[in-house]
Amino acid sequence: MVNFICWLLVYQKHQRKKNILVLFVGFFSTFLIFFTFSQESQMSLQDLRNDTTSFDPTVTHDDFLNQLLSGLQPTVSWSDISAAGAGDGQNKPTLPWDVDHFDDHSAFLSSKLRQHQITAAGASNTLKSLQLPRDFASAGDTALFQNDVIDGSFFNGFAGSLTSGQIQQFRNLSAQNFGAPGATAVSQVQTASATAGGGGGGTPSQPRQRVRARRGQATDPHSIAERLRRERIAERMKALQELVPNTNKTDKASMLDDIIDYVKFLQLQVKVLSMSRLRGAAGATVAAKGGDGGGPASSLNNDTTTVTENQVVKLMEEDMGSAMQYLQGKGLCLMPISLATTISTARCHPSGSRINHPFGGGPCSPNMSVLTVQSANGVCVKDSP
Amino acid sequence: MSPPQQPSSTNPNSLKIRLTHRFLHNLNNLNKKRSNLDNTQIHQRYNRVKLAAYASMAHVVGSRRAWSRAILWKIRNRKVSTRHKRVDHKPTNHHHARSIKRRTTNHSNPKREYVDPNGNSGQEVKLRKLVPGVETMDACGLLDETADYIKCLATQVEVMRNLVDLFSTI
Repeated sequence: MVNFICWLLVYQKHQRKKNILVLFVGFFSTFLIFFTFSQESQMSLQDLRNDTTSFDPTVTHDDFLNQLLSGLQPTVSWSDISAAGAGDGQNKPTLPWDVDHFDDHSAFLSSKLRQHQITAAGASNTLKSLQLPRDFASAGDTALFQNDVIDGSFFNGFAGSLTSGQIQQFRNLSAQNFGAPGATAVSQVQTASATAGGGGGGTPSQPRQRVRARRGQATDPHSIAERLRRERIAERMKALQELVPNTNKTDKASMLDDIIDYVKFLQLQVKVLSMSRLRGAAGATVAAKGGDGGGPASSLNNDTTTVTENQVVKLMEEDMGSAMQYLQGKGLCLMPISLATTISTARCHPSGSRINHPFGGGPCSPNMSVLTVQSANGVCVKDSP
Repeated sequence: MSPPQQPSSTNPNSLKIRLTHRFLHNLNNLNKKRSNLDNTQIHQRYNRVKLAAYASMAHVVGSRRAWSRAILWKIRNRKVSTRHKRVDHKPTNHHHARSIKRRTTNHSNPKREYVDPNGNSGQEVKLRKLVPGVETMDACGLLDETADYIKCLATQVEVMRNLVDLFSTI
C-alpha cells in the first residue's frame, strides 16, 4: 500500500498536477498525522511492529486502510475542491484502481513489515518499499511510518542489504522515482551500490586475466626484436616516401604500391630515353612509337627540327616577338649560347667534341649554319625545361 | 675496364656528375665498338644503349649495393655468353630461387593478397622482381636497396634526358 501511495504520488507529480499533489499530500498528511496520533493508528502500528498475530496487523491495517480510504474517498469531491487547480479527471479513474491495489498491497506490506521486523536484514524489497516512502515522507508524509523509530532499523537493514545482490531491484525501483525528493538519497545509494558493484566486478576479473604489458613496454626479447625490426622498416619506408614524388599515402600497402609503380615508371623512362637517344632528337613520342616506326620517323624528325630551326631563323630576322611565339608554341625557348655551353660543360666534360658528334653527315651542315647564324645573334634554341 | 673509385658519397650532384661521365664513356665505347648507324638494327642499338645506361649506373655505384652487383654480374655473364656462346652456371642460385617461388603458386586465395611461402606479401614479391639482386634479402634490406635503386634510376633518367635535350636541339 505504501509503495502504491508513493507511486500514486509520483504519478500525480509526473502528470504535473502539482496543486492536486500538494493538496493530496497535505490532506493525506493531516489524515495520517491524525491517525498516527490517535490511539487506533498507534495501536495498528504497534501491532505491526510487534507482530503478535499474523492476521491482526492485516485487520488493523485494513482498518487503517479503511480510514485511509475514507480519507481518500472524499478525494472524489476533493477533486472538485481542487478543480480550480487543474484538470480533475485524473483522480477519478485512478481511485477504484487504488482501492483494489490498496487491498492487495495491504497484506503484502504487512507481510513485508513482519519480515523486516523479524530479521534486521530483511528482504530488500521491504527496505526499498519502505525506503521510498521514507523519501516521500520527507515531502510530507512524515508521520506515516514514524521515521524516528523505524529509520534506524531501516538504515541498518538497508546497509545490510547493500552488500547483497539486490542492487538491481533497487535500481529498478529507484528508476521509477522520477522527481522524488529523496532522489539525492537514492542517488547516493546508487553510487554506493555502483562502486560496490564495480569493486566487486573488478576483483573477480583480475585473477582471470594475465597482466598484459602496456604498448611499447614489452620486456620479451622476441617482441623487442620485432619492435626494432618494425621501426627500421618504418624508417626505410619514410625515406622511400621522400624519394617517390607526389605521394601522400599513409598506408604501408598503398605506399608499397606507389613505390613499385615508380620503379616501373623509371625503368620505362630509361627505355624510352635510350630509344630517343639513338635518333639524336628530342621527343618521347617518337621513341614511344617503337623501334620499327623509329626508322622512317627518324629522318623526318631531323628534318622537322631543321625545318623548325630554319623557320625560327626566318622569324627572327623579321621580328623577335613572333619568333619567340613560334618557339613557345613548339614548347621551346631561346637561351644564350654561353649558357648552353656552360651547362654542357658542367654536365659533361668533353663537351666540345661531343656536341657535333651525333650530327655526322647530312643534317650537320644546316644545323651548323643555323648555329652560326644564331651565334651571330648570340642566342640558341633549347628545349624549355 | 675498372670503374673509377669515387668517394662513397651519394650526394645527388656528385652522383649526377659521375653518372654523366660514366654514361658518356660507355656510349662512346658503344659507338666505337659497333659503328652501325643504319636503321635496320635499331632495336639492337637501343638495347645496347639501354645496357650502357644500366652499366654506367652500376659502375658508378660500384659493388656497394646488391643491385649494382647483380647488374654488373649480369652484364659480365652476358658478355661471357655472347663471346663464348656458353651459359654461366653461377647465377643458378638466383634463378633457382626465382623458379622455386614461381612454382609454389597459392591457389587457395586467388583474390586475396598473395602470400609467399616465406611470408612475403604480393607487393614484396613484385618489388623483388623489379629491383635486381634482392631476391634473398629480408624486408628491411629490400627497402634499403629499393631506395638506393630509385635514387640511381632517377639520376640516370635525368642525365639521359638532359643529354637528349642537349643533343636534339643543337
